[in-house]
Parts: sequence; C-alpha cells; structure tokens
Amino acid sequence: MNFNLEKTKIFQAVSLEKQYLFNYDKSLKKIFCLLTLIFALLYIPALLYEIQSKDKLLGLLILSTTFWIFFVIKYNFFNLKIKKTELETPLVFALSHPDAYNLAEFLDFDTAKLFSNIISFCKKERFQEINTPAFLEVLIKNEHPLSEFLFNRLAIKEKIEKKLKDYFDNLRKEEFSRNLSPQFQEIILKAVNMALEKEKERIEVGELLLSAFKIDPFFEKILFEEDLRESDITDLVFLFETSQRKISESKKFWKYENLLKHGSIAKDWIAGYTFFLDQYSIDWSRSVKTWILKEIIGHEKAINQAERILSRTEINNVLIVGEPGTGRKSIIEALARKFFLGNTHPSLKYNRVVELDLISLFSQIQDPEEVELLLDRIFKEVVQAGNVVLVIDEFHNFIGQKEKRPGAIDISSVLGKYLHLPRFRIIAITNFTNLHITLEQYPSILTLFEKVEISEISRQETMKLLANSALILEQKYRIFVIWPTLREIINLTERYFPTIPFPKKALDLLDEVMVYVSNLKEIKLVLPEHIAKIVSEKTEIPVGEVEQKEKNILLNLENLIHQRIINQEEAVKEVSEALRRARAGLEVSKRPIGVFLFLGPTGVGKTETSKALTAIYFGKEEKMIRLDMSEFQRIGDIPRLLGKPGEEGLLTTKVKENPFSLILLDEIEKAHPNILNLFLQVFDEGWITDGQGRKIIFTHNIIIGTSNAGAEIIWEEIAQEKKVRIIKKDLLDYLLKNRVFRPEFINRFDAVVVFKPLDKENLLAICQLNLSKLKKNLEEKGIEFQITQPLKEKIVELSYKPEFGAREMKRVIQDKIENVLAKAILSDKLKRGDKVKIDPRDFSLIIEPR
Amino acid sequence: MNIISLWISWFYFDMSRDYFSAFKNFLKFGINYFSTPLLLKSFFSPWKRFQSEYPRTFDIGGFLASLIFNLFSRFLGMIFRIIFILIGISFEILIFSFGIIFYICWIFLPVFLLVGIFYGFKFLLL
Repeated sequence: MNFNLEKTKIFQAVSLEKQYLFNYDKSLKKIFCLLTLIFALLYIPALLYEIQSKDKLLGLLILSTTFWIFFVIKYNFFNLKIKKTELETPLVFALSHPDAYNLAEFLDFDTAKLFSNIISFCKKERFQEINTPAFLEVLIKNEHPLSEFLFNRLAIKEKIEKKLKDYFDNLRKEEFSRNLSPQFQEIILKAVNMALEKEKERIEVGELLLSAFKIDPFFEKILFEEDLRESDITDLVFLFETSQRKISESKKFWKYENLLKHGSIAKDWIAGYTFFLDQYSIDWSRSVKTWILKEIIGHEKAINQAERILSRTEINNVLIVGEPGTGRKSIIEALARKFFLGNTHPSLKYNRVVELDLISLFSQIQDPEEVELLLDRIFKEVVQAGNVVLVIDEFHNFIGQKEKRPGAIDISSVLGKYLHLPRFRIIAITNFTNLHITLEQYPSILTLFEKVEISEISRQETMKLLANSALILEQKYRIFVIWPTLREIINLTERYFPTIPFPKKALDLLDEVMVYVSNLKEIKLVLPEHIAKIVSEKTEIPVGEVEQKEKNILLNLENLIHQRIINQEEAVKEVSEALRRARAGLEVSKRPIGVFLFLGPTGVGKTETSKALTAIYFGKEEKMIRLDMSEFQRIGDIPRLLGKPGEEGLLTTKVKENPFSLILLDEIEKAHPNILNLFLQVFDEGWITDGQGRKIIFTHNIIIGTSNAGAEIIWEEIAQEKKVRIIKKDLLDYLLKNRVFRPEFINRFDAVVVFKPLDKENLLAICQLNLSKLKKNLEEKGIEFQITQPLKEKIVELSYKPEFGAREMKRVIQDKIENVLAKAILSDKLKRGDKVKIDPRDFSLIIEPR
Repeated sequence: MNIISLWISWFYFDMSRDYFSAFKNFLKFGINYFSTPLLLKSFFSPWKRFQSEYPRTFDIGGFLASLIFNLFSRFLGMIFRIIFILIGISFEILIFSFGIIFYICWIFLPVFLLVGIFYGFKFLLL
C-alpha cells in the first residue's frame, strides 16, 4: 500500500500551520475584537469632551480594528483555503489502485495532522512501526473532539488510558522504521471504503476509528471488555458527525436554508383570515421554526406518503393509523417543518399545519347546535384561507358518537360537507382498534381519506432518536447522559414495558430520568443505575440487581423451595431444571418464563410450591394471580376471563396490572376445553388479545396449572412402590386416554410435574415447619415456645387423612394450639418473657416464667 | 504555489464566488420574505380572500351590494399589495446597493488595512 504522508499537499498545509502560526489566529482575532470595542467605548466620550489624548485613542482604535480584520481574514484563509487542498484524483480511483496513488493525500486536514503527531509519537517512543494503539493514544492526548465525545459518552476514557499504558509498557523499544503496521494498513483501506460509502471526498478520523473498532484486536478487546457493540461506535460517530454538521450549517446565516427560517410576511395576505380557527387550535408551523438539532428518525416512508396524498387534487385527506406512542405526531411535525421551509410540493409550500383542539372547543361550548355552527365556520375558514392543513387527533372520538355523554359530539355531518373539497386538506389521527370499531362504520367518511399506517420503530431507530433527544435535553438540564444509560433505557423499557411501543416508552423514561437527576443537586451525570431505579419504582421490581439475583435464585432454586416444601424432591428438581432451561440464554423469547402442570392428590404441596416459587422469584406471595378454573366450565365464561368492552377480565386485567407475577390455574382440568385452547397461544407465543382488543403480554409470568385428575392412579402405584417416572407416564396415559387433556395442550408445558402423596414422616416434618412459624411469631412477642416430639406426633395422629394430605394439619394446629395460645395471651396468663410448651395429652399450656 | 499567490487566488476568486453566492441568497430571500412575485400574481385578488357571495335568485340590490363589496375588497387588496411590493423593491435595492458597496470595500480591503496601519500609528505618535 502506498502511504507517505510527507509527500502530500495536505502535509504541506500541516507544516504551514506551524510556520505561519495559524493556530493562534482564533485567539488573536478575539483579543483585537475586544480591544476595538474597548477603544471605541473610550473614544466616544473623549471625542465629546475634547480630551487631549483623543487622537491617541483614535490611533489605537484604528490599529486594533485593522488587526482584528487582518486576523479574521488570516483565520478564514487558513480554514477555507489552506486546510482544504484540491484533490487531483477522486478517492474511488485511488481505491482501485492503492499502490499507484498515495492514500495519505486523501486524509482531511485534522486526520493528516493527527497522523503527523502519531509519527512523532512512535519515533519518540522508539516503536518499530506505526501501530494502532499509538493512533488511539495520540487521539486521546490531543483531546480530539470526536474521541472526547466518543469515550466520554461511553464512559471508558480512563479505562482506555490505563490499557494503553499497560500496552506501551510491555512494547519493546526498537529502531523506528516509519512503516505502518499491517493492521494499520488494513484499517486505512477499510476507512477509504467507508468514506466512499458515506460519499465523502476525504478520509476523516471517524472512518479510521470505526475501521479500527471493526478490524483491530486491541480495539475489539475494548469492545468485548466494556460490553459494547460495533453498532454503538457506529451510532456515536454518526451522531457526532451529524450534530457537528448541523451546528456548523446553522451558523452560516447567509445560506438560503437558514434565511428561509425567518419565514415571509406577505404570504399570509394571499391566504384568508382564520379568526375562529386560531382560537381553538395549535399552530405546528410555529413550533418547528427553531429546530437546530432535532430531527425526525424513522417513518420516512409514511411522511413521503402523507405528503404525496396531501398534494393531490382529489382525496387529499390523510388518515394516520397507528398505536399511541409510535410517533404519529412526529409525522405531523416533519410535514409542518417541510411546508414551513418550502421543501415540498409547490401546492404545499408555506402551508400552515394547524391542529384543531376539539377538546377545548367542546369544553367551552356545550350546546351541540352551537358547536356545529362554529365548526362549520372553522371549516369554511380553512377552505377560504387556502393555506391550512388541518389536523384532528384521536379522530375516532368525534365520529359517530351515538351515546349521549358529555363531551361526545359527532362532527361527521359537518365535516362530511368539506372533505371532498380540494382546498380542504385534513390529517386525521386514529389507532387500529378504533379504525375497525368506529370509523369503518362510516364508509362515506372513510372513502374520502387515504390511510397511512404507522408501525413501531425499531430498537436501532429508537436508539438514534434517544441520542438525538439526549443532546437537546442535556442543554436544557445541564447534565450529561452517557451512552450505556441510553442502552439501558432501551433494554429495560423493552423488557418491562412490553405493552407501550417504541419510541414513547424510551423517550418518556429519558425525560423522567433527566428531571430526577437534575433534582439531585450534586450529580451531573445520568448513569444506568438511575434508569434502573426509576424502572424499579414504576414496576415494583428490583431492576438492576434482578439479573444477578435471578441467576442466584435459579442456581439455588431447589434449596430455596425446600425451605418451605417437604418431600417432593423429584417435583422440585423438575421445576427447577425446567426453569433453568427456559431462562438460560433465551431471554429474547417472548414465551412466559415457565409453564408447568402440577399433578397430584390434594394437599401434597402443589399450591404451596407455587406460593414458594412466587415468593422466591417475584419477591412476595401477593404476586400470585390465582384463578379457580372450575369457575370457567362454560364457553360463555370466556368474557369473564378475558374481559369485554366495559368489563375487565379476571385473568387479563390482573396480568396487565401485574406483568411480573405467577399465574396459578387451579383445577385446570375442570375448565371448558375451548377455554383451555385459549391458553395454547399464551403458552406458545406469550400473548393474548383481551376482550377490549388490547394485547396482553405474558412474557414475564410463570404459569402453573394444577390438577388432581388421576390421583387414584398415583395412590395405586405408590402402594405398588413404583418409581415417579413410571407413575408420571401411566398418569399421562390415563389423562390422554380419558381425554382430560389433549396431547397438544400437554405438549405446551415446559414440564409436567407429579407430586407424590405424603407419608407420616413427611407430615412430621411439615408439622415442624408449621410449628416453627408459630414459634417465630411468638418470639416477636417475647414468648419462647418449645416444640416437643410428642406434640408433633399427636398433631400428625389427629390430622393424618391420606386423601386430604397436609391440609387437615393446618386446621388441627389452628384448633388445638393457636386457639389455646391466643386465649392465654389475651387473659395475660402468658406474658412477655415466659417459656411455654403444650401438653400433647390435653393440649393444656405448661408455662414457665423466666 | 506560494502562500501569497494562494492568498490572492482565495481572496479575489474563491471569496468573490462565495460572496456572490451569499449575495444572491439575500436577494432571493428578500423576494421570498416580501413575497413580491406572489403579490404581483394575485395583484387584483380580494383582500384576505374576503368576498361576498352573489345572490342565487334575481335580486339586483343584493347583487349590487356584493359587487361593491367585492370591488372594494379587491381595491383594498391592491392598495396593500402596492405598498408591500414597493417595500419589497426598496429592500432589494438596498440589499443590492449595500452588496455592491461591501464588495468594493472587500476588493480594496488590503489597501484599507495598510492605510489603517499607517494612520493608526500616525495618530498614536501625534
């Protein structure tokens, strides 16, 4: 590869900068400007009061002005001419013959200067060749604006400096050869390609840095260790370059695009007055006037489509259909900006985009006839004005309101008169549900609109939008947002707010965190922890620690469950293994966290295991949504489960309110088969549409169905001392043969878990567990309760009924122990500081005062 | 090319080209800001599109009332447009004259700087 910096014109420019001291011009022109101002201010009174030294002041004023102008010219000469040498060959030719052309000629001034510094650095440090870490070192040392922006945003500057120090400490000192390392050569070639892709004439630092992160192992290691992706660097470099370009372009006041921002004063004269419209509207054209950094990301296709429709002579009304939060209003803003600047179809140039505020209109005028009259006037004004594109948000709320409720007024009749007029242009906004439920009932209105469908923007687009918004919010709040924070916003909102679309959820969270951090007086940096804190507050889940906590829970699940569940080793093991399988590396899955079917006789711990799992996984037992499926035996029970317009669903509403919960479907076999079929999609896809048309997400739920169907098989086979594996097989055969469950239903579960009946030994252990809870409660009251073996045996003896499992025990403990203790405490027989035990023969108290 | 010839080519050629491009932008902006062509095109249009509808039945009184109102509206529109067209043209003349003066100053700027240094020191040493 031919790369010789010293033999290039751009290197001569770098040399000239040093030779003619061009780098001092910026400061000197500022100094002389200030001096000119000072001398001018001093000269005016001197002239008025005929002070003797006025001639000297005049001399100083003339000299400072002369030098000010001189340095302004010199500064501009250097920046506009010397820095931008002319290229004899286009970059594309050089790339096709990299050996014939000196690629160094294609560096821009800043990059050439940087290279010159790299060469000096490598020579001084006695490196054998010019290597890529040296490039990074010089970039950071020179505080190049891109590296400052990039590494500060990523919050990795200090770590990189340390890594570089370690690298250079271990590098052997040899004679400097002036050769580029093979990796550096590869990076330059890649940078040339990138510059061409971006249609640039020269290679800039951004391309070199991006190429280095794509190719060089030293840079790749940084990415890996800091958990960064190539796309992070690409996005940041793009953000830096575009924002720099926008700022520099906005400063060139003489450019026609910038002059256009002043608008025009006489264009409105051609248009008619909009007296009534102005009272009940928001003018979007005014708010988009002052944009510098803000830009619309995504939806380009929809914007162009809407523009095309509006510029037609017939059916020039747009119906924007999309879910709230997908950026429907950003399309309006983009159109308003285009129209304002005149970058559009001639018929739309300098048109005003005005949103009709129907809510405010309805709140001020209640009489429907008066409202219709006013709307008629407003629409007439729109036609007469000839330069208005009208916007109506939530359009469905104002069409065909049959129910007579306050604030609900049907504007379809008055609107219908104007929709077909070519000079009446309207953009209506609605969502898919209301398009189908409401608007499609009015085909005469709908045919006069052309639909533009808006979908949720992607993660990548949201990231760009967030970065753009962060730049604007940083100026407002005077706080700095690092890149990992923005990535955390995307990750957490995607995971914890699945029902709200991008970009709304991400932008709202960014706005909220900026307010939150700006209130913390001493903190000027928005970190991922702040995002986790706000998400935790919103979801009541300890986000941030959750990933590490979840790993610990999954690894110790058996032990944690066994703190509450006696026996059932196989069942607990199976649940734990299935959960680990489901969670290991499959976080992108939209399915629920785990779906289990618990089979076994009553009272053996199915519900208790579910409760334990809820407490362990979701923090508290209250996070369990319990449904008795025997209440859903008829097909007509579906609306109770999923809801219907005007009625909340027992399952869907609870899941919507508690997206992080365990759903226990008790006695699942008793539900109607068609109701069970509804769950097939939930188990498989992780969502269902409720009776009100909302998508309910089950991605963050554990779902457990319990059933005691076929319990007799378990009893029989336990008596025959068969293994659990065999019992499970026979039980499933029985359930399928008797059509209790269908095979496709059983197959959807991550695990079918069989719970064994409890024997006397198990019951003794359960008794100990229950009495321990009681002992703990009494300890809080300062009473020591002694649990004795005879007492436990007596309780088990009284409560042992195999068909009820451990359920009977709770009743016995309540009757025989808790009641007696309660009476004693209330009658002051049992006081703080006492020791107590219970005589198993007659359940009387034996109290030993301390 | 030495630095002096480079400077001369930049100062008198490159900058003149950029200057005239900016000059053209200002002239274009003036036309757009005062909407002169649009005002000329709609010279006889009613003021703010104010128009009275003519009666649909035979009503000579109503017809005359609308006619007079519409003529008045057009006349009013014309007056306002004339005023703004004149302001617009004056603005263009101003920009044009100022632009030419500024360009002449630019051409002689090196001389002015030398004169400035001469007189600056002269006054200082008086």
